[in-house]
Amino acid sequence: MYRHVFYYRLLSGLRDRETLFWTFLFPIILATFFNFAFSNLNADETFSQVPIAVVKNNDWDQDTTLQQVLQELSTDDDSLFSMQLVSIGQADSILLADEIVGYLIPGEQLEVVIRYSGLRQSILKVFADEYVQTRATINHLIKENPNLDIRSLFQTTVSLIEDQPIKAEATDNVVVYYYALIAMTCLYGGFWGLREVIAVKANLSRQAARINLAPVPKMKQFIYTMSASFVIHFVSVLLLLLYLTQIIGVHFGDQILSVLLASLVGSTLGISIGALIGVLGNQSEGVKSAILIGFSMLMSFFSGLMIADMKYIVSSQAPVLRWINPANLISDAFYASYYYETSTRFWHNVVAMLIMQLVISIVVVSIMRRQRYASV
Amino acid sequence: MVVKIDNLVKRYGDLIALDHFNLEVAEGEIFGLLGPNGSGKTTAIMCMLALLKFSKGEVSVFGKPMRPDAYDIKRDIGIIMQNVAVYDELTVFENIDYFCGLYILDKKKRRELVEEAISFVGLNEFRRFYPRKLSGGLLRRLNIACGIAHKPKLIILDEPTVAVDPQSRNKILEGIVDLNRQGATVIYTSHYMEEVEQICTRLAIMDKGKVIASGSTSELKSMIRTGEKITIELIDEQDTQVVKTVEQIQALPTILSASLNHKTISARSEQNRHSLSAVTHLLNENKIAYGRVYCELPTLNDVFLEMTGKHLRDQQGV
Repeated sequence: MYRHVFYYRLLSGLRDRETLFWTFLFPIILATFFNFAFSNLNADETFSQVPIAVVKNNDWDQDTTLQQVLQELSTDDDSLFSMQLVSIGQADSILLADEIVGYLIPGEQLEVVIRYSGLRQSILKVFADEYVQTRATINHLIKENPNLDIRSLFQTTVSLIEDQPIKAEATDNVVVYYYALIAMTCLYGGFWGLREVIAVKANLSRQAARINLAPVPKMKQFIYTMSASFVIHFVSVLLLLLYLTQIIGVHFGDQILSVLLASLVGSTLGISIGALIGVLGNQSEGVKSAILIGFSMLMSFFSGLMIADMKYIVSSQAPVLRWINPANLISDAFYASYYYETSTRFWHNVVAMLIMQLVISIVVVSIMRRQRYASV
Repeated sequence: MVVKIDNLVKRYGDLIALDHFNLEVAEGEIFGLLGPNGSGKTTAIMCMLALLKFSKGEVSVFGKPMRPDAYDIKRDIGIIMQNVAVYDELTVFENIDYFCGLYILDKKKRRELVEEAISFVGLNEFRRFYPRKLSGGLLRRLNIACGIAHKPKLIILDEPTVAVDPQSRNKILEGIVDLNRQGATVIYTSHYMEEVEQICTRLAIMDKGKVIASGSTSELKSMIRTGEKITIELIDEQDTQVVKTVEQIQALPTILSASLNHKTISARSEQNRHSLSAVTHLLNENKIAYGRVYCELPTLNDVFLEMTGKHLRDQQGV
């Protein structure tokens, strides 16, 4: 019996174009769009030195602090600036020739001259502002208290941040978006859960009414059909992971077993959530599907699918939501296995998902066990 | 008795869908459950099959109480629902095989039964078709095949011919009689009285959740006062002479009622009384010119009309 039901539900599922679109094709399409959108993001973030010039005038000669600071910031190839000391005339000509992004004219205000606006010009401007402001503060403090040890002020710092060991290779911020995408895909497994509840609950479909009249216990039928849907969905998630790693080239680190475990638990959680939406209420399949899409998108939004910072906003502003948002638990499990040397955070997420799934399963089974209906 | 229902009461909120509903179906019968839409036929079937909760009453099938987990009883029941209940993603063959497989575990035997069911409903050339490619009639036939492939002893057909073309309808009705000949007891619900008259050995007429009469077709017809119905099509427009004649027909001792509608006189005669010669005699005597004269025996609609005061198809929705 199991093989018979499993085979036909598998066959039926593999021919269900609408459900396959949402659970398999749609995430692949989104991943492809992500790839186009993010392909230059890391390249843009790669740091290169900012070429600047400083006009050698009397103020420069007198401002030894500025000389020291700029020397510190332009010592070698890894420094912030590559600096040339030039006359005002030379500075103008090399700026016109785009050899530098701007130049500084030492003086009371440390004037900045640039030709275009942009990130590198902003770095120069921010440096100049910071320098002038800090110089003014120090001058003021010394004037007020000539015996003040300025160095001790800068040495007294209090750390409010707890260190978590981060993997050396974990530097790609774009993966957060892909984690959220996988989490969304796992949640879209809800379509399969919803589909199978509709196939078995007699008051939701004609086919289910017919099945309820067959000599097969309803819970057995439900478990058989759910297992077929789980296989389809988990394979879809694995294919998405393959697509991300092999075609798009996303690097999820070396924790392949953690990735697979998170995908497995996330997929079953997604299917369970769909089943829960299926058993609650007697709305039509269309309404239930809309609820499922809305829920998945909202949870994915809070886990950082659209805005990566949302993940941190939720963690700081509404920490409870971080633990009850299934999309966040799934994406955070990936995140934890990728970023951290220790697996504590990963297991916290997995256990939270399992607890959530247990609670949902108890609710689903208790409703599904109902043997007669008020109406069909 | 194959099916026995005692005092079944089913409510939907304040609405009483089944009002102390009683039914007995004997082995080998084609039992018709006749009633207008909304009379409670489908509700009665669903309660009988333990799919719906009910407030009161008892149901037994094959002599055993019917419960949702009465799998030994369910194994011998085949249900063909009013709405087609098949999977769009499976072909004709796969649909029948899937539903048959819920009853028959042996693969070889199931294969034979599925082939037999496909031939029985005449879907051989459509076996690889998906349901969306089938016409309404063919879809109904597939629906029937899914319900009967496992050779049940009790077959329940809930309005299987709704929205079906005449060719498919005849095929379905012939098939039901065939299944009965092969030994199955059949419960057939419909609001089409002609179908019920055509195939059912016994029937119950339902209205507002109650059985208002049951028996064979002839037994039901004998329960009412109406005998033959006489219809006369006049040649000329009605005048005072025609009106006077209709009054005279009405006054005949064997006539229950007579009416004039444009150029047609209708008269209902009493049960087991013949009034045709008396009516034509009056027409001739009053020199009323008439063309055609029809004389019909009472139908189940007349039975329903006399018992409820309304036509069977008053509430017909299709």
